[in-house]
Amino acid sequence: MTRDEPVLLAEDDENDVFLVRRAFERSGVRGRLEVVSTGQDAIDYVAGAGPFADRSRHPFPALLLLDLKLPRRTGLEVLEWLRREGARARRDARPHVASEPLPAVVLSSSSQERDIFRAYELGANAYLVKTGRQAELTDMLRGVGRFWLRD
Amino acid sequence: MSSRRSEAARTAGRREADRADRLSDLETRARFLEATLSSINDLAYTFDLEGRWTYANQPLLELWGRSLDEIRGKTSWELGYPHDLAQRLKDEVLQVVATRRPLKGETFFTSGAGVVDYHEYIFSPVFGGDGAVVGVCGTTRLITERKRAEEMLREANERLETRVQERTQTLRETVAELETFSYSVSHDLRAPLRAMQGFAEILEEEHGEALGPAGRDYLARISRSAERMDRLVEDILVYSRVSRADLPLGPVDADALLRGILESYPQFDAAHSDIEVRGPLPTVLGNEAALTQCLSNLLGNAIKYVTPGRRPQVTVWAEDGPFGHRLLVRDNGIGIELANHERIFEVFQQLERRADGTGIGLAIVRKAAERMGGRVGLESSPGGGSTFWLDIPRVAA
Repeated sequence: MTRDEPVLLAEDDENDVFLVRRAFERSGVRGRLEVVSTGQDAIDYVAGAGPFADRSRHPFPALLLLDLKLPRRTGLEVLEWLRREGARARRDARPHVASEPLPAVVLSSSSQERDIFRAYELGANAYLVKTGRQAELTDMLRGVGRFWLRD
Repeated sequence: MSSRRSEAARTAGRREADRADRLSDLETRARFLEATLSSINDLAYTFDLEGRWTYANQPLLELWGRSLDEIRGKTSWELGYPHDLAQRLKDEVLQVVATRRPLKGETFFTSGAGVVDYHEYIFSPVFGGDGAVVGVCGTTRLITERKRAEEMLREANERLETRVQERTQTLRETVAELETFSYSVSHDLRAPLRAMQGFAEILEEEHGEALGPAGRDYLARISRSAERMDRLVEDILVYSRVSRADLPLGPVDADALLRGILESYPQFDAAHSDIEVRGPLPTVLGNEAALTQCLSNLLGNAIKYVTPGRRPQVTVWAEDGPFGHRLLVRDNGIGIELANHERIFEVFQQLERRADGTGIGLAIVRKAAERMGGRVGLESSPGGGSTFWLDIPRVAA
């Protein structure tokens, strides 16, 4: 896996961005974290559209960490879009690489069954419930890296 | 007067009297019949084979304001019936004559004052001695009252239906609002708590030395409070879910369920407590998620409230209950006074204020049990431990 592929975090809560970034850095997962704060920006980033058209500055991500409650398109809407358009976006971005779908890991406050079922139904690869415990959050991200990025 | 003549005269007189008797007999019978027909509230009448009126009882004559002689031999047109109705009456009389069978019908009639009256009528063939139809008789009953009652009933039903629909709609909206509410609670209410917890930890880690023991204690308090609030939020969500979610009932293997709980929840492992299952527990009629919630909360409760320093010892077993199965959880905890046996199942009721309890756990158990058609209760005394029981229906044979 080429490591210019960032992990894309779609998160609108500044505190969460700070805490996830800190835990991400401590988890030892290689690569950098790109952050967008709306569902629409997440879609635009993956599609390489609008402000994210320059792939040299905004490379196609290796993984999407997705909050569910996002402004301008919810996380569920992003998942829906990914299922429909994700494979094409990836082919366009990396025509010479075998097309695997972009893994999407939900990182949400909600432990409600309804949210979990809905997310998996729409093709989420994993569903993690956010925690305030920093060690736990770091472990969580380390696990995600091992499984989805083979770190 | 000779006796012979008087004899003949007497004979003639008897014949005369006989005929008079027979006549008066017929007339008497006709009068009886007329009186009978005219004393009923229904209209009674007869037609000839062409649909001309030949008889009408008193109520009908009064309705028309005519005498019997005035109507005899008249067509319905001649009696002033509207054309459509007159034609229909004639057609139906001819039909009864042709088919030799009775005919039933209903019609409405708007009076001059605009009052609509409903009538129900029966036309029947009248047969002569040779079996041929000689006329048609009919009765008509005023059914306006009945019609009105039917109409009122129908309207009442419609209003009821409308109200049920309105109520259902209102309820649906309320449920939708609750869903939105709990969605917002689960997403929005927890974020600030997570931040409090996260930044308190980071502060402790990066600046703990500089804070000193008192500062670190304050931080720990912030952390614990945030954690407690998070548990409260979680429990409120569980409680509201158990209260309103669909809980389809089916056979649940309580034994497998309990062993699954003991294996997967870290707080129940052997390092912290002794939990003995005197099994196997039965298969019960319930809902797996709700029963999981009940059993894990009862177990959590059993190991939580023990005298400090004492190792929790819990026994779980099953008995025959007053209805269905009874699952029992006995602990060696602090016990509960009789006066509080009802109160502990209410929301936000804690007998002892503890950081790791929310006062909702047992309320969830009771709600979940009730939603499965079951009941919960306990036997306990202070210092003697507690035995909580859960009555739950059997699977129908």
